Amino acid sequence: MDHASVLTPDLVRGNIDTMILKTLLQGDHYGYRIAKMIAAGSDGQYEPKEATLYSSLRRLEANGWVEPYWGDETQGGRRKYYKITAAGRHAHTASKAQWERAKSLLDTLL
Amino acid sequence: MTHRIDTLLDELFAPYQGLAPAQELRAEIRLDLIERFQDLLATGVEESAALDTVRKSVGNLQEILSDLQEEHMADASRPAPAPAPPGLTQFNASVLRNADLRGVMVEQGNFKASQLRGADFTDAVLRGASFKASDLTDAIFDGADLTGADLASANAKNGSFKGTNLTYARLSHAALRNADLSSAVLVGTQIKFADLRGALFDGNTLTGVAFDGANLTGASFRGTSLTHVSFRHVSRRSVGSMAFGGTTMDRLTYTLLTANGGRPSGDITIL
Repeated sequence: MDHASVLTPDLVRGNIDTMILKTLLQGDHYGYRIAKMIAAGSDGQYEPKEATLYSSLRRLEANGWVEPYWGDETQGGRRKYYKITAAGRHAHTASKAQWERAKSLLDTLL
Repeated sequence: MTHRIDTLLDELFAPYQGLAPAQELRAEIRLDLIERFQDLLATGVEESAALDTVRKSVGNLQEILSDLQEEHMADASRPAPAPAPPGLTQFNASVLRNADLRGVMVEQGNFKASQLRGADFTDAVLRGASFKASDLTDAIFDGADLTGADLASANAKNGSFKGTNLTYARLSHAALRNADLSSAVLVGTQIKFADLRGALFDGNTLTGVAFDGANLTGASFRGTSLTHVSFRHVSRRSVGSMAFGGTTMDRLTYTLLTANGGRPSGDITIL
């Protein structure tokens, strides 16, 4: 389950912002770690591409939902870590509730 | 080992060279790719297979960089760098037939796909403006400044460009049949694959102009001075029917003009 190229329909990828917020609820991480944790959390069924990951992180940053800061690595280049903000926690709760509503609606429609 | 990743990044980011935000993204992604590569090698994956997996993990960079690139392109300096002035600049898809626009100043104006048949832009300042794919039939640009303007694929049949400044303007694929470009300033102007049948270039000084693939049948270059003008893929028949007289050109231009075997008639002085 190194690198999931399994099916990643738009429905899944479309929720990348919420997935990243959920990941950051467990602690601050840099890009690759976030991708790996999402992959692990889905048993390797979904792992976001770098492009998807960073376009989401930029969006989240613009919304004030995550905050980047530089790590203090001394070897191999400093990493940019992302921290979830209070607004980001609210956003995660809200979009999770929204998903629950959408899910029960789709269950009746599909 | 990191050089394998840098080579891959060079390739992926080649279209975005000079785009500062892309360099930031590249630095961030670089460390991710190195770590991914090392992780794969550590689990015993063979190097070329690991690199292939790393490459696939990047995804579509266009998704994230296209917006940045557009912003950047808008700021990038052009041959005629001029910030859009305050006021109206957006006229795309407008209907301005026979409009009186003499002397207007609309630098960087957007007139794309507009209907400007018969419009009068005499002495207007239209540096960097775009008239791409517009209908400019019978339009008048006499004395106007069209430096760096884009008239690609415009229809300017019978258009009047007397004394117009067309420095670094793009007129490729334009319809300029019977257009009058006498005394226009043509420096670095691109007029490739244009329809220039019967067009007039009399009394001009043409420098670095590209007429490649244009139809120049019956076009007139009387009293014109041509330097480093390119006529590649202009048909033999076109060359034979062009009107010269009191024309001067450098050796290079003459060679390009006659490269297809065309024999220009009239009085040409080769400098």
